[in-house]
Amino acid sequence: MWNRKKVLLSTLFLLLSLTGFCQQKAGTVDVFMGVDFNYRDIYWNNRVYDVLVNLTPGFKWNMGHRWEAAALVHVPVYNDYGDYYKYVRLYMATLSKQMAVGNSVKLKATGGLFGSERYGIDLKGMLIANNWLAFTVQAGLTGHCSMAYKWTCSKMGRFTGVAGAEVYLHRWNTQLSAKGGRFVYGDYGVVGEGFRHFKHVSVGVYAEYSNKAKENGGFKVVVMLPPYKRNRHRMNFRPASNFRLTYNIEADPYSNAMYKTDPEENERDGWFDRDLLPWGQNLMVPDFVEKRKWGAK
Amino acid sequence: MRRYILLGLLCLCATILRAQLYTGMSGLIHVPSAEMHKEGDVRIGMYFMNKKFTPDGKGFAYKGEKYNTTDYYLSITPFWWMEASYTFTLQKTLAEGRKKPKFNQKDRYFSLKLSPVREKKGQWWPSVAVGANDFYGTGDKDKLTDEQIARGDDGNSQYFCNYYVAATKHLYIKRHELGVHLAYRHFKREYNSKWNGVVGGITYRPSFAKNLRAIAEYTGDDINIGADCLLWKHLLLQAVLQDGKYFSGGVCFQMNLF
Repeated sequence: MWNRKKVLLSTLFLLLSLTGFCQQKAGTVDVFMGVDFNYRDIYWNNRVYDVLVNLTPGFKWNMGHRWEAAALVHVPVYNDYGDYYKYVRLYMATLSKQMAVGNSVKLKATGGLFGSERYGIDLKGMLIANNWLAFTVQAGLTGHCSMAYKWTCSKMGRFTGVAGAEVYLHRWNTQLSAKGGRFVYGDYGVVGEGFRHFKHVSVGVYAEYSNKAKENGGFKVVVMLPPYKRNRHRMNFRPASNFRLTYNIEADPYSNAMYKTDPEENERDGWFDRDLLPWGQNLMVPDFVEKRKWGAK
Repeated sequence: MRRYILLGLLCLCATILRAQLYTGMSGLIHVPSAEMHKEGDVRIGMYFMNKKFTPDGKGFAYKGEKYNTTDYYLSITPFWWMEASYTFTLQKTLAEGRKKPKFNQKDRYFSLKLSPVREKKGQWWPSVAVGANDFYGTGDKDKLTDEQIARGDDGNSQYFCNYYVAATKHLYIKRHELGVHLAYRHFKREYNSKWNGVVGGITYRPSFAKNLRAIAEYTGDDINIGADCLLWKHLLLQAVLQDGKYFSGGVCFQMNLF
């Protein structure tokens, strides 16, 4: 039976969850910085690994009504990769809008400069079938754009489209997904992933097939970075929300690749705000509990 | 006094440890067991491998002579019945245009262990596990690419590839823990055949230092003795004398993700 202690605890938990879910922080700006760590293995250069480390200062400006502007800069601090990577450069600059359609469809449209040196427009959608099954789709029209060495651009003529399904096993906080379609370098392929979500960490494996590079696979680790309790102001300075590691068996960065449209995009958070039709991992206890420090509505 | 301080340190964290530290998986030293880490455990570590510890093939010999090396690993137990790890072991080669060989290459492999049956205190049946190390590879002769052939691959890699089935039973005698481990394993490569067949070992965890474990094992070729110890909940150490003579050992950081 419910006693007073249980009711108080449940209310407290609900309030904490709501503050964590609270993404409607209209007018707030987050300035953050993380580290982009890359390594590669080239057989003949007498090194175990080549390493490239960039600092990644960026910002997100929540403009209200789920409009968001974001940008990310790469500042190289250690570079074995060569001259192409030695300059400070704008890596992402996007404007996005999220919305829900009814109770089962959520959409996100993004335009601007994406990751993987692509620019253009991108549309993501999720159709929630029930509490354990959802379908996803992503379509984009992009071109090459790099500010690494000189400003180089191609026409915005590459269509990419990927569709798939996701299954979430709540009892084990385990997420299985499969998707297929045309990826950013023009190859066609399918990708299967399995993720186990722990407290602040997600670990996953993936297997993929591409018509260009054939079979591949590997694992991914997503670590949500502390501090996990945060005070929210209009202007917030914080570390990046997460650190991602991807291990690719065939060391192939091109097959089944897709650009990122958010500077902090990761498999644990998914594509959408966690309070927008919460599904799957959105229903876990939030990683970040936020407390407002100003009188915004 | 010093002895008591050491004992106190050892008793700081009485967390159960089960280490086959050269891959980060649970086990004895070289021999696998049916023990499993706790669900959510993750480990990142390194292991110094004496040249007697590494496979006899071309992979860990330079100009026909074996050398000591080190490996690095990341392992996780995502479910109580599954462990997985990724390991890479440094290899010494002479790069083109260089005069001296250097640790400039690595052998990479995955390990996987599944345990469908777990022992229970007071019940007679043992834990049972099946597993494999280095099971996925492109090292066979018929799979070699032109690039691999050009750099001298002989289609004989997957140096650590082996498959096993293992059983483990723990006995508790006056709060002391005695583990009995038996496994049958088969290595893929002929140069590792000395480790094929029935292998096993015993472990002993004293009641006064639950975070310390003594190990003796038979690998099919030699007898190893060693010990591992968990300090401050997160730091796991293992020291081994292979065949009673050759030192190997490792250190890892472990934590639980829940």
